[in-house]
Amino acid sequence: MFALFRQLKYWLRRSQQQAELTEELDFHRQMKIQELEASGLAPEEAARIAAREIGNTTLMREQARAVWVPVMMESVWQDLVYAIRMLVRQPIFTVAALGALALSIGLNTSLFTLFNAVALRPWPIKEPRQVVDVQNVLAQSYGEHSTAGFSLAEYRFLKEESKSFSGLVAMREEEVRFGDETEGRKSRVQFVSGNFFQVLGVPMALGRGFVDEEDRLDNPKAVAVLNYSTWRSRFGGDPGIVGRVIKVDTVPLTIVGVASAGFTGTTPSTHDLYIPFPALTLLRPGDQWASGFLRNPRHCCSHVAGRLLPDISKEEAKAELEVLNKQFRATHGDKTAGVLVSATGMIAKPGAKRQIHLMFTLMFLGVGMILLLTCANVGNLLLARSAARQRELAIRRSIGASRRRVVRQLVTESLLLAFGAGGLGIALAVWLPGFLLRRAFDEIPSFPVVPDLTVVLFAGGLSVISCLLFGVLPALHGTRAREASVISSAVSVSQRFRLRNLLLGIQVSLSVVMLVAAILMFRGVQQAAAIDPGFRVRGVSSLSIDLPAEMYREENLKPFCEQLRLAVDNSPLLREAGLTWLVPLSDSRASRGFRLPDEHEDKTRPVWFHEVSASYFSVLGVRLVAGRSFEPADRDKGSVIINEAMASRVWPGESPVGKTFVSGTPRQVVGVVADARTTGLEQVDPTYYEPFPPSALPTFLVDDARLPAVKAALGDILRQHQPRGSIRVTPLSANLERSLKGLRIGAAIAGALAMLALGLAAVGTFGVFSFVVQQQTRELGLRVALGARPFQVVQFVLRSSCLPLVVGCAIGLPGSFAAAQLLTGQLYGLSPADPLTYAAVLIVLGSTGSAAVFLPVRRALSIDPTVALRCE
Amino acid sequence: MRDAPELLPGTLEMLILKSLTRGPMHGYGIAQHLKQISDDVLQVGESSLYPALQRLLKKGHVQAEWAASDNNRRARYYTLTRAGQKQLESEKQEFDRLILAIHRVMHAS
Repeated sequence: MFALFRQLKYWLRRSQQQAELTEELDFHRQMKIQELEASGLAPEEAARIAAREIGNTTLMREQARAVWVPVMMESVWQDLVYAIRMLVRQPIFTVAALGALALSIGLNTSLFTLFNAVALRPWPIKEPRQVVDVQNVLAQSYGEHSTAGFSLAEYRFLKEESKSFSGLVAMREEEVRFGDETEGRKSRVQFVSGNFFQVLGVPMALGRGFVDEEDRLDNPKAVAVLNYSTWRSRFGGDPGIVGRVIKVDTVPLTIVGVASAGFTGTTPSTHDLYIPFPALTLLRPGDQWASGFLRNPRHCCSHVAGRLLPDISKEEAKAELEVLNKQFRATHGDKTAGVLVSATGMIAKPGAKRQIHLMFTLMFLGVGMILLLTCANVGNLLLARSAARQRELAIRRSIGASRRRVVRQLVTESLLLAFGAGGLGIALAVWLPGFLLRRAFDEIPSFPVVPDLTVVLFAGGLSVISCLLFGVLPALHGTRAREASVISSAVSVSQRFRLRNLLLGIQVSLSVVMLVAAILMFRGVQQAAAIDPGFRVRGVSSLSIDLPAEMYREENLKPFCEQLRLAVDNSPLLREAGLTWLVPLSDSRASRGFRLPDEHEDKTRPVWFHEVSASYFSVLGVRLVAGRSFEPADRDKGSVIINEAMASRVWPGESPVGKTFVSGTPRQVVGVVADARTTGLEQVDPTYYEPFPPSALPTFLVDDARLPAVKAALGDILRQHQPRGSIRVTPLSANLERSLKGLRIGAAIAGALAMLALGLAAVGTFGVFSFVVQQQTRELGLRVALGARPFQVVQFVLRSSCLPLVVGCAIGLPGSFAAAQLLTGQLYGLSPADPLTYAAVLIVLGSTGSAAVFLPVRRALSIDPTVALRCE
Repeated sequence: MRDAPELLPGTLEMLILKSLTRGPMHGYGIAQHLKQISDDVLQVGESSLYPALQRLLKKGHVQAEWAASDNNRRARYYTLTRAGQKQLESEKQEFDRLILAIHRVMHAS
């Protein structure tokens, strides 16, 4: 300990220590001379002998120093200082290499930051690793959704019976409005079990979390806990907020606490406040759904999570829960296919897994390629530089530096570059992901999207890897040349060319892949925009009615809707409007179980359904293919219209009109309509339509020509029955734009990455050819002097390095073909082998390549033999 | 000049510590002292003396101080520290044991 301290003290005062040692040795010499003079020698002779006996004082000083500072450490320090000096001396190289590396490491780190925040990060709670997500595996699979939560009754059963958890919590997201407002922005609220904050270990900034008293169904309490950011933004951080009464959906609630700033919730979206489950009966009195949700053992769903006891594994908890789950379901005549117990990070969720994986895999591939390209490029730059430094390196080696020492010096420079770039990359990652989320996706995530320790380690790892990629190979290569031959400036070029050409080939093939991907995605957007959705988008608008919140309670809503419907049916104008509650392209749809009458219940499979009026088809221009449209008499008879996709799937080769099936209740097909992509542009799914029920609140679809008249007529009806209601108009084309927006952003990102890749490859090509010309100036000069024609000069330059371009393309094209298969889902029917795309890629590559080669070739042509031959 | 006999590793440091028990000394003084006491057998070269002194400084067995020498020149005087004293004790015991053992081996019949 003290030794270390002394060592440090020495290090801090090292120059003074050296001076002292010199003085000490000098004193020693003087004494020696005195001694020798005393024994009778002449002064000069004495000085000579003394000097000889003491020997090499520099070496001695070195040895004395080595006692304090390990040689290795000191030479690393020297390397570092030297590396900084070298980088500063070549500012253009340094800025170019640092910029390119920082950009590509930054892109990778940004993406990882996003991935880390979205997928890897567990909930922001105390010891999140103990907390697991519990999900029920459905006995019947509904497409992708094969898992769901539990009914609150089952949750209470599990909570009572389970021995694996120190606590189980339940939660459910709903939307409310603050105050007495009946319009405007809705706020997200999370209904939670009373033990929520206590089990998750969420500290409170103010007040308290809920207590068991507040989680009793027979005695609901009107209390709420605020989210920290809501407390700051909506209530101005009022320190006296606890005890204050606020109104939510016009119902007064008492604030009992504010969650701490670090708790951003258990979902990616923000919740403004937390309310105990029983209070649902206060907020939605008389709502059948609410009372069913709170009590009915078969009423889905609340999201359940629990904190495992310290010595219980996920598997043990799962085994126990499965027994309890079966037991509970059996008592209530229900089936189950088991329980899933998973970590709380989003990546662990079975539903989200595939989607997240695909998206991030594609993006990581993209930015990873950029990094590879950059490494190849910087590697080439370093190679060129080490060629220019041949003489310096050779001299260092000939005066005794070992090859290892020189390589270490070069690698230190690369490491310095890489870590500098890594630092800048992290800086980029602090800013870019948030910027992208805000600008491109209009999304303000509840969770922090900033680099944490994991991200910093990731960036560090990337820096090291990229340094290995771009730095070590050139360093080994650069130190291979024989000293003597280099000093006499006869450069052996061929071997170094091989590596440069390899790197160039890699760059070309990678940029081919990136280009193909980007152009395919652009074509995919085009394709999507050009898709015939099967219904009219232009010139149709939707009119929705917004009602005051209390009107949405069932006992209020139903009579209003029936009055509304009566009025609509009595108006010739409104009868022409299409009624639906699923606005086309609004990303919502609904499914129900389906089976043929003679099939067993077990064969029930999901099918999409739509509730519409007869005019829905005429307004949207969806053609009736067979049978008839709805008639007023169809309302309660189970008559349905199916789309062609369903017809060909269920009754291939037969006329479906008149056929029956079971979907909840028995249905009979009365007509078939053409396929319409109303739920999404990607594809058409089997769908059936049933008459719009009179008790539901419709959205009206109308032709823009009639919009003012319809709006006025609806306004009249509203004034009569519900003066506080209002009408909202949205053109369908706005929905179309929105669903294309994601695609456009994807294509834009891919395009930006591809441009970057192309730029890097172009710079790389330019660099290689310039280098060829520069290195071969003498030979070219000689050839010109001996009468070579310009075209022969061009041939000579191209021949040396054209091969990698050709080979790069030859590898890149099939490679990109393989990569394009991954994109199939994004292409809207466009083939991954789209010939136009490949033609475009070849044109872009060809023109960029020519441009990159043009300047070096022109320089080769302008070589003046006399100058060239004299220059060395 | 006759080559000085090779010292056992680590012995030089012990000899320096022992010399310093007589009081503070400068490097030249230590070399002279060793030479005189050993009847010119131990001639410590400067190239091993000064690194050894640095090692002792690093270990904290000696302290260094600048002071005026007998002939009024500035010289660096080394003093034994308490840790050095302890070190000397234990090294001396170890050394005696070793010498005795070698002696027994060499004079065994």
